[in-house]
Amino acid sequence: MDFCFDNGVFKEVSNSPPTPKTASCSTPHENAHPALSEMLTNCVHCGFCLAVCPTYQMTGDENNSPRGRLRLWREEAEGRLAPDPFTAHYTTECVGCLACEPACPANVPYGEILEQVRHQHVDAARTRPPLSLRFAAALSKRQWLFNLAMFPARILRSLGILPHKFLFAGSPPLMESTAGYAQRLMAEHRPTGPRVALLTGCLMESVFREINFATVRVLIENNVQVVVPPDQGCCGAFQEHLGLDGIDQLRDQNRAAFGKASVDAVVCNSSGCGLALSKTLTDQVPVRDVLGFLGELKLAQRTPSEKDALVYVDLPCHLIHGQKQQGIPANVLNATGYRWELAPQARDCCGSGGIYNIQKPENSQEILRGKSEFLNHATGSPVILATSNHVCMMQWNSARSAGLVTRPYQVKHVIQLLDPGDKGLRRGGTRAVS
Amino acid sequence: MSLFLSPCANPETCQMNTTLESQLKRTIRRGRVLSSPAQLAGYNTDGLGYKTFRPDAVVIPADAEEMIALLRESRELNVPVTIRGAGTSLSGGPVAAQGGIVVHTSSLKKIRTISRDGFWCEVECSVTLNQLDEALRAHNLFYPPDPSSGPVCTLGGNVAMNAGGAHCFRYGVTSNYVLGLEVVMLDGSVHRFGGPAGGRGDWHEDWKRLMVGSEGTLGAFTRFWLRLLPRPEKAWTFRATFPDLHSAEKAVHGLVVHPSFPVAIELMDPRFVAMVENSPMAVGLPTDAFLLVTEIEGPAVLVDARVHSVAQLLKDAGALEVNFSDDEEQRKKLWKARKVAGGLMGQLSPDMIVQDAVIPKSALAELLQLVYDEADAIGIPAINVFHAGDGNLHPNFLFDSRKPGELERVEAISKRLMRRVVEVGGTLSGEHGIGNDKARYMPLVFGPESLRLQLAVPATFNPRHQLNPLKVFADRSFVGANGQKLSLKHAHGDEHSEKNEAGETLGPRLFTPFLDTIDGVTCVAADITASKLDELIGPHRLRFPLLMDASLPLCVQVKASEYAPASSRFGELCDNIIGMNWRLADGRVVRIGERVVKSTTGYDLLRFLMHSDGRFGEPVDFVLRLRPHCGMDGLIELSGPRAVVTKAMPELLQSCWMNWFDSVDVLAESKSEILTVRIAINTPSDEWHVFESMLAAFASAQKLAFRTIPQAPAPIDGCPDFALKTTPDRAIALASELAATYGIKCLALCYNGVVHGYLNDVANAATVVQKIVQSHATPLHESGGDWHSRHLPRPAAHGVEAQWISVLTTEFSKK
Repeated sequence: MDFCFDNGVFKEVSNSPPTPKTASCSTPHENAHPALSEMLTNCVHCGFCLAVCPTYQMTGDENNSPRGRLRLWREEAEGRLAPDPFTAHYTTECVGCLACEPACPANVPYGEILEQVRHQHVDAARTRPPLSLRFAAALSKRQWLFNLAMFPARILRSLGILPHKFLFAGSPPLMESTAGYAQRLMAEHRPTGPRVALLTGCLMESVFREINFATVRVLIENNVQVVVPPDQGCCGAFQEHLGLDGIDQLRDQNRAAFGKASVDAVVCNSSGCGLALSKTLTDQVPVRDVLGFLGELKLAQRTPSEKDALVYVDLPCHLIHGQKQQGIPANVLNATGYRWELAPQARDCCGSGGIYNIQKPENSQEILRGKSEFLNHATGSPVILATSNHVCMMQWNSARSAGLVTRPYQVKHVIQLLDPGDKGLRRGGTRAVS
Repeated sequence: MSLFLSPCANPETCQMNTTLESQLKRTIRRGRVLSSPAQLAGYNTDGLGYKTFRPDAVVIPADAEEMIALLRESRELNVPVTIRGAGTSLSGGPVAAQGGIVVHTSSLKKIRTISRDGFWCEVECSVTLNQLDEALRAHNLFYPPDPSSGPVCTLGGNVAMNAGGAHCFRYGVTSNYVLGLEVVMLDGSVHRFGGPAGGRGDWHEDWKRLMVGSEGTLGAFTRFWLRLLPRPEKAWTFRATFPDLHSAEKAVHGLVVHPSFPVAIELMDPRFVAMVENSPMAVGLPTDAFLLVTEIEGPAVLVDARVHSVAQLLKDAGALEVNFSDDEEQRKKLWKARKVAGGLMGQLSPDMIVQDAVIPKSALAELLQLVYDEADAIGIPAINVFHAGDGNLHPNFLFDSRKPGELERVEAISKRLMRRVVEVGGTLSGEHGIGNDKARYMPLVFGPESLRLQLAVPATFNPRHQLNPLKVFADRSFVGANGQKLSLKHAHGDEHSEKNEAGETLGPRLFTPFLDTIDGVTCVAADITASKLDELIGPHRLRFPLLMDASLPLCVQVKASEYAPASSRFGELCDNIIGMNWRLADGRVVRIGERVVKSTTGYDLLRFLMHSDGRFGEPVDFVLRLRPHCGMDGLIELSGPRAVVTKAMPELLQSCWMNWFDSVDVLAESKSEILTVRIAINTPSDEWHVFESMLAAFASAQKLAFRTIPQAPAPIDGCPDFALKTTPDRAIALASELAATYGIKCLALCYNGVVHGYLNDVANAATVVQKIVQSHATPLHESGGDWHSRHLPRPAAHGVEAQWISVLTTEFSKK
């Protein structure tokens, strides 16, 4: 948005991309994207972002804050700072939670700037993501390959064997794909309401497939038609978080896959992937968080068997800061039938950051320590920590093995709390008409 | 924009930095020392983003201990030291203007104690305002100063800059709320000035007063004791638009004296409104209108009774439309247009200067026009926001510092603007502080005499200007341990720094007698009596409620006690005397302070001198902050046995009604077992019954006798023979103990924690006071309190204090 001040009045100039304000006295760094240097000048240095930044709160180091990072990037981009290893360091320290975006009064597009800078740094070999993550990112480009590689994880989980701190409990189907399952249920139940396409996601489909199945069931129970475009792929979040090449291919793939489906919306059950996909399909079809979408319907009500359970709801950063949603709709949480309340500091980051907990395990655990402390004293039997993002669930799960939480608790996706189960699914009866 | 190259481009600086780094790492073991060029770049500015100064090192001490150890090494380190909180200052404050070390206090962020009964809290210097507010909520207390950077700004920064905020019109600024502070000097010595009891502590002079607003130039703060108020129960927010300045001003002038005492009055000009309405943040305001947002808060019964008279006031002034609400969501919407402005300006323009002038309200029209004329002449946008209550004008200039000459042109406008501000009786800064940015304008305010008095302060604590050089006064340049002077090459814009222009020496600028009925400010002789003062201001429905004696001169009263009963609502005397003509010990008369109610221009000599005991001189004239007379005075008395009253009082004091009583005292007389609570109220006559019923109900619930005396003026007890300053939770007990022990009359000023004593036999006064002081001085001093008596001089200063006094005296007497 460009404005000019004309005769005492501000007027919008045009909708075209802003022209770079390169003045004669500055010497932009060679690699600086013109739009990037433009975006960097938005920051008025007010410091409001410091209050919400997890790494600033943890370290007290100005450089480890959005304002600090923007300053370093701008100093380098405008030639006043020679490329410095610490700039790369502080860039990798950023969790990418985007809490700074809503806090910023000047609307600095921090997320977009971060994505570009990460990419620049990797390109220029200033940062080298760990081999394991680069490998995972490479695998994620081909869904069938990713599924194959993660098959053992699925088996172990289905057997109740959880050898890794990030593997939370659940029973993923082993053979049937979500696409196949959705097709089967659609034929069986023939819903007549709004029509959505589901992003199955690389990690969700390959490791935590039970959440995809639950999503399909909940949608169909509420009379929503569900299609799962078979040629979809990873949303590209891996590449984006790590600054790797290859995002464009993945985006093209998904544009092709979802563009073909004639649907009212594309729904996602993980906020990070939803954010990434929404940037891909901007002008094509609305991308919605599945819980936000369900919140607009009259929902089937559950009656859980665990009467004393208490659900603590944590809000994923990429839902509230990235997608700029208020939160998880109260009517959706009420429909679960559980007693629920927001977890303390529900709007603060859990430290997952997508792959941050693998890249920066100490930071990640430190952030989780503060957030998870309350579970040690929480009431409820069982105590259930519920959220709507699989990587956040992984992070919450790790609190146990890290010794941060020393009493039993469950980690669930909110959609699982709405799930009627394969046998329980039926149309009519308590189902609300949409 | 300064093109500062990495220090390591210059081998000499690189060598110096490595040595500095290793020196620092020897002292800082648990904290962090940052020295890479990128790490230093991150600290090169504060909220005034376009002016950059890269430090030579950054230290993040792990705790107060490391901060003290660091300062102890400062002579060895021999480089400037700049203390930094969150770095949100708008005046180029916590920046390394002459290089050296930036000390980031971010690790000191604990809230240590909250005392509900004592109305105080103890916090470390890097606690943020919002963090404090969250913690105080549970105790139904709040800390009133509210700069808009509340989510991130630190108490350390607030105290260093004497921060204000939208609510300070009603509640006062930071210096009204600092009960005590702990400061580390350059030699590593640690001193506590004041404490929970909010007095001087065990010192001869009130050094705390020089520290607040000293902008990091005298010492490093580690923790504070802060005064708190009961949280208001409810608020109503109003938003109104006006077709022209005349009608907007009419509304402002009406609101300023309205009995509802609005907590904030924000006025925005049509250019502001146009900017908002032509942006995605538009809220549907008529363009070409002035926008006013105001708020009242207090007990629900009281504010609900007042809301319509405020709305009517706005309509009668000529408002185009008036919206108001008490609903949380709606109130946010009403404030929205005001709150989005800063960020919007940031999006519209690469750079922005916001000035912080405080002016007499009567000069608003002229200053606005000047801003428009100057900005239009060079073709840059200017938008005005006015904290209308206290005359604090924020013109915002949007520009691009990358355009050749633009920054210089904007700075030239600022200078002309500041000159006019001072000429009309205003001051350079109301809340942002002087920093590095406004130091160049100080010669507009301080002539050679006043400047010498000001510079006497750093001469006492920081003579080589090692702490935060080039701030507040441009003359304050760092002098190394070997006498070497630092060149100014590190300083941005040194080619623009101003000294006194040739041929232009500022005169004494003494205050002359005046009465400004719009601002509610008057200048009178210091020896004026209460009755004479009332003759002058009464006809204008103004009053000065802090007088305790009808016939004694005001200056005698100021000596007798720093508090009056009405301090409960309006603060200490030094918060109500905003300027003085002061006669120094050698007979010269100088101007101290301002004639506008809010100022952070220079060191707070006003409060320091007012609390000194005559060594540095005497007041000649006072500039007083007056209050509106709301209609009627009245007195309500509750009485009962000592135990019953003592038990009941905390509940009354902790309710937000307390802010609406002029005074709440407890009278303890001689050997009587009965204590009388006296509540003086000044209110419109149609609200009297609201107070009456509330207090009658309270009395009944607490089983106290109730007596109402409408139309009774506030009690005049006369100047006390002694005044003890303790914490609020001890005042009543102390008053009744003293009354019983010595057979005298004692008045507990409950909220302020002050006990005023009235002796029967003044002939023997010195002996009695001596006895009282002997038995009570120690516990008073331990909590940072103190004692005053016109019958007994203060004990002589000793040790380091004697040195400080000696330096000050010498500096003051220089010609």
